[in-house]
Amino acid sequence: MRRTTLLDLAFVLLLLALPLISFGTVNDWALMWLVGLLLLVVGLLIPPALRLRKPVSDASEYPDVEEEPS
Amino acid sequence: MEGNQLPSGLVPWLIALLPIVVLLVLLVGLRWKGIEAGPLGMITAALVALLAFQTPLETLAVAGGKGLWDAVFILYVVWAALLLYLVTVRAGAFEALRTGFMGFSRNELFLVLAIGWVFSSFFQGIAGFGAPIAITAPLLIGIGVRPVYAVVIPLIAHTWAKMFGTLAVGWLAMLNTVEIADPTATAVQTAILLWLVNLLGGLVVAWFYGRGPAVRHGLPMILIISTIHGGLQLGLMYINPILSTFIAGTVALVALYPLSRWQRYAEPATGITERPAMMDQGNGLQPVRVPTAASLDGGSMSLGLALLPYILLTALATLALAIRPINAALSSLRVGLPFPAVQTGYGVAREATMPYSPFAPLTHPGTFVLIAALVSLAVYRAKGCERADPSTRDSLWRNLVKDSVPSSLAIASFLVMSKLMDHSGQTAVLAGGLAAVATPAIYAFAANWIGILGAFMTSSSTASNILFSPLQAQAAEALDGLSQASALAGQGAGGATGNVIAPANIVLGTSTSRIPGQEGVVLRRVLPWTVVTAALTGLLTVLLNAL
Repeated sequence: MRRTTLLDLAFVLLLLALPLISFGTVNDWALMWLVGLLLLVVGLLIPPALRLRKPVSDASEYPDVEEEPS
Repeated sequence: MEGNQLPSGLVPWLIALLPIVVLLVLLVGLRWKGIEAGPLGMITAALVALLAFQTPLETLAVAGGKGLWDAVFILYVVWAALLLYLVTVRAGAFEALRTGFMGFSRNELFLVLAIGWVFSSFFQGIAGFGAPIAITAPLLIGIGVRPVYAVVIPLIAHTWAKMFGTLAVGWLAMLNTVEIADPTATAVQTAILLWLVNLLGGLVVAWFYGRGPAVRHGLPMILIISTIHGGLQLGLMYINPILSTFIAGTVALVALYPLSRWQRYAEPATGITERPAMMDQGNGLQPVRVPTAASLDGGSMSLGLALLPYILLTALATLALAIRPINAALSSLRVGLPFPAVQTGYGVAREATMPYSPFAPLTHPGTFVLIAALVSLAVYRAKGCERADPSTRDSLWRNLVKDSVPSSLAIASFLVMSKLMDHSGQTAVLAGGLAAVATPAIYAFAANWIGILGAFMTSSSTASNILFSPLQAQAAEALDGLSQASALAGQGAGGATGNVIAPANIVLGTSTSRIPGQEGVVLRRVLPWTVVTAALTGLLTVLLNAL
């Protein structure tokens, strides 16, 4: 799956997590807020997990990374 | 923060510090991107909460949900600002802005100070939530500032306006959180500290532009603007703190015109050979195009049309925020999600909120930016200005999603981490530890560092004030020789200064400048200024406390 698709998926998971956690905890529906918490954790772990799949970007791709002149 | 049994001592304090250490090591030390470092900082905070702070899973879930909700406030600005940026780029408006600004003044330092300091501060006077950075960073890039500095400059330069900007929301938060014995003295001391922050902000912008020669060349302008910003804000503390930053920011904006007519700032500066903040310094980066007679005629777009989104934005924000009846009517629509009361095994309790931190969409800066972007898009399309981005075949909307999602994930992770640390008691242990080992003078010095910690954690001076004003007031009560006004002034100034290093704000800047992943580079550039400013603010607080 493409990186951008996975990041979009992570974002959707966060959007889903928010109402599940709110309504689950307010109404004491443990399964609902647990699913919400799980979606939150999975959603936020996708970006660092992608780091394992793709080698670290070369700093040279960013023209501003070089140090300031002293 | 009262009524709990949180552990005290060095070991719990170091454990509570662990998530911040992990975040800083990954971001600054290992140069990870915010989107990768943030989630691991969050996981560390969750593990510390579970294993060392007796935090139940439900409390973690509620904290996570509140963190996501907090992110909505910032993400709304990020998405709208990126849309505005894309609309402006595709219409070729930045080219027109660049030539237009250069026609206004051919002095680059003047333009950098005007946009990065004066305009961003003006904007903080009427709209917060990161909008000043999101709006001015692309403009700075438009006049040839390197993207990293285009983030760093407004990030630092407008931070003085955080406390009393946006209709003094940070000050009102402090007033609502603690019973202030002498509000005028507290406001005055805060304004004195913020004047220092403002002056140091102007000086460092000139330093970034061209080191010592630029500071010398820009000094008269810096002193004039700082006197207007800081001095007027200070004077207005006795009359109307709520509008103080808005008025000071507006007067400074107006003062740019006579300054631009002054020969010193109308023509290019001489003697500034080293310009690290600019792209045309002979390092292969894109050079600034010197305007030709033809380009000064306006090219394909007039300056007025190029400025349309910014004029709209200013008019909408001023109308909705500064005119009280309109503001009251628009603020009546508020939406939010409820969360139940939760607590930890150590008795750290958070009350039920129905709803939590309600969102007022009609007065939110994101709405003004969104309207400005959509109206501008319609106008540019009607005038046939819009063209596809040559670097991509994606549509405007696909580009928007592609640019916004990574920064949204990073911002969400930082704010979830912040709420986890708050709800588990880690933040209270960190602040309490600092307060516990202090004498009055040391505490006066440390007060603004606590404010900085709060803003670093929450990316908001208002949230920092809500979080730590009670602690500052308690410290003043417990320590003979520490005035409440000085402790709270330190909190206010620190809460403003800490926004400079807040990861969510940095991500907001890198995303709207389209340099995602360079959060560590930005952090390394702003960190020295923050430390120096905090140290000088601390010394000034000690002095104010002794008077």
